[in-house]
Amino acid sequence: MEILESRTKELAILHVIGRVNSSNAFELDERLRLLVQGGCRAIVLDLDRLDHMTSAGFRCLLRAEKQVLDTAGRLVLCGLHGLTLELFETAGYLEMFVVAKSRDEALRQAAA
Amino acid sequence: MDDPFKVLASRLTIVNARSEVERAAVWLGNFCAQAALPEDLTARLQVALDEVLSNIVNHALAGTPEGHRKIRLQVRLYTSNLELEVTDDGPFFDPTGQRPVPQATRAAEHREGGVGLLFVRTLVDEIRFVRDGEINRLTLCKRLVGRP
Repeated sequence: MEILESRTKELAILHVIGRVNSSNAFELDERLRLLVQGGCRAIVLDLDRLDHMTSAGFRCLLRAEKQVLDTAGRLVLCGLHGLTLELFETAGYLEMFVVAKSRDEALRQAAA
Repeated sequence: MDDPFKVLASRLTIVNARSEVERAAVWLGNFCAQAALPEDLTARLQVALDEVLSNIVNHALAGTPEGHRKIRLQVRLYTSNLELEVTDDGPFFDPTGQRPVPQATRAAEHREGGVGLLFVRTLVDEIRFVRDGEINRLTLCKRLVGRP
């Protein structure tokens, strides 16, 4: 897994590449936690180049969303496709996150 | 007894440690590449294996120091299906007896392991478990569509 990050003062874009599984999900978890603790109130998580994500990764996203909501912030996902999208649907997670159809739309929603 | 229809097989032994789960994913990925299996199928098998192994390491072997237990993996490719077998000598632990978290249950109520099991059941066609003496033997079966 590789995480590319770009950010302004209020907004962070994390581009997650490769596979997120039980051996590396803690890295994503820590990255998201530090962003929220550092005062970031809007996070876009771009999963366009994600190969797959196991339930360990999904738990990271659920924790991150709770942390963001606790600080009145916003977490927006984009780039969902293939197996990742299928697993979001399987677990019933789609309705629990703000999911944008494109990165531009995600940026607009995160900044709103 | 040798199965004339078995076309490829591979084994790997890992220990109960988080880093070993990634090694297992790489091993399975290499096997699937060697067998020229589609990338989507490889990803499905890797997710299923990750869920099974993390379940064993975090639940069945909870409290066991890292590196103290061996987990043996075997993948067998037949002409029309693939079997992925995971064995460990930990306490009796039958993941097929666990109830998966139903779809659309509130995220905050999700038990760790429940969603993973739901994923496994979705990603493979059959899950078999037997307690073989002191061994837990879990087999994931996936039918291969469109192979000769």
